[in-house]
Amino acid sequence: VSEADLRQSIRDAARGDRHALEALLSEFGGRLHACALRITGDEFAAEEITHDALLALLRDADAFRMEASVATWLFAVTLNLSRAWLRRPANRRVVPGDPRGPFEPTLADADATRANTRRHLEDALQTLPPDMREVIALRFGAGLSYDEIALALACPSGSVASRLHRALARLGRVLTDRGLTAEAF
Amino acid sequence: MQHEAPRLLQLLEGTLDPVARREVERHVTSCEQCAEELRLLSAGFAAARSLAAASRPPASLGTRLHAALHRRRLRRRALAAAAVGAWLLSSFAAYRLGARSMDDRAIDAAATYALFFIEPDWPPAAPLDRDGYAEHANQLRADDRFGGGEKLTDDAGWLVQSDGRVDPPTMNMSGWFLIEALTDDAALDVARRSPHLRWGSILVRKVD
Repeated sequence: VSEADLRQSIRDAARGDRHALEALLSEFGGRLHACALRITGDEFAAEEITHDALLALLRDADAFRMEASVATWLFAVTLNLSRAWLRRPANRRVVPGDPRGPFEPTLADADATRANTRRHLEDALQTLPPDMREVIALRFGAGLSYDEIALALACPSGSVASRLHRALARLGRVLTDRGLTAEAF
Repeated sequence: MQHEAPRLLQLLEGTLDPVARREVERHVTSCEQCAEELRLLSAGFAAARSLAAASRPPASLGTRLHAALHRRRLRRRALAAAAVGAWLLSSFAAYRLGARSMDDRAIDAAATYALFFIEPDWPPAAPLDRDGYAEHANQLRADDRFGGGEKLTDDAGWLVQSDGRVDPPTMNMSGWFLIEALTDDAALDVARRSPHLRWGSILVRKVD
């Protein structure tokens, strides 16, 4: 979808065009939600943040002068909303722990095993510091390029790869310590 | 020996050219430290990628956004109407004062209401074959007052008690509409015109 088409969809959706809204949601809904979910680790918060970011975009659609691309703007807003959510005292985690114990593969049906594995992965991710979760969220949840991540994080483009490397290696270490190997997922 | 840590991520991302890829792969087979780093990185990489594929926002997000935007448009129209009304009725000074207070009232009043279609007998004896709901929704849509709606299946559903016990429901509903209205009376008028009253009652609630 071209940037010009996106901006037209935003204006149409803001005027009540349901198809334009659905097009925007299919372009960004899943990516914004995944990004917020990876950072906050909370389904409800992820839905609220996705809703608020898109509404902020649509509310001022006519007056909007985005210097960056729509995607960069949306993910920067999502990042800020996720950080604000984490800053609220009620949402702070005291000690990142492993409430589920070591991973034990079972012979249950495939769906249950997949869901179980995913919960373990989510838990492992949430033990990482927020800045590491952010770079993973932007790359794998939002699907942004390294240059786009640099814009969203306001950091030099060259440092994205090393940040991502450190974050993924730390996640790999947590998973390995818990007995989860790449073959399990 | 120079370690390959900086290029390991590129190896996993698939962004190395074939020559560089072979160099890195050859190095990893002979360097314990880089092999261990690659093992950790691969686990983290595969996990992050599999989580990304699993995420999806709830289907209700579109309806919620649509309703929020409708509400905003309604507020703007109410604001404009209040300003025009005040101008017709008053001098310039009074217009400024009056318009402000009427604007505030209009903004406070504009709200989203949920109309829950309550069923007296449930589950139905025969599959539901009712008409009029879509037409009513279209009418509301034309007035810019429709914020969404859903029809439920004909199943009885479940009532989960506070202790976790699951019982058959003692009351039930077959669907809902979200509508926009400036006053409670206007929302009740919409409910009175609903085809659902032929079969059951309607619970009208203001959305917070």
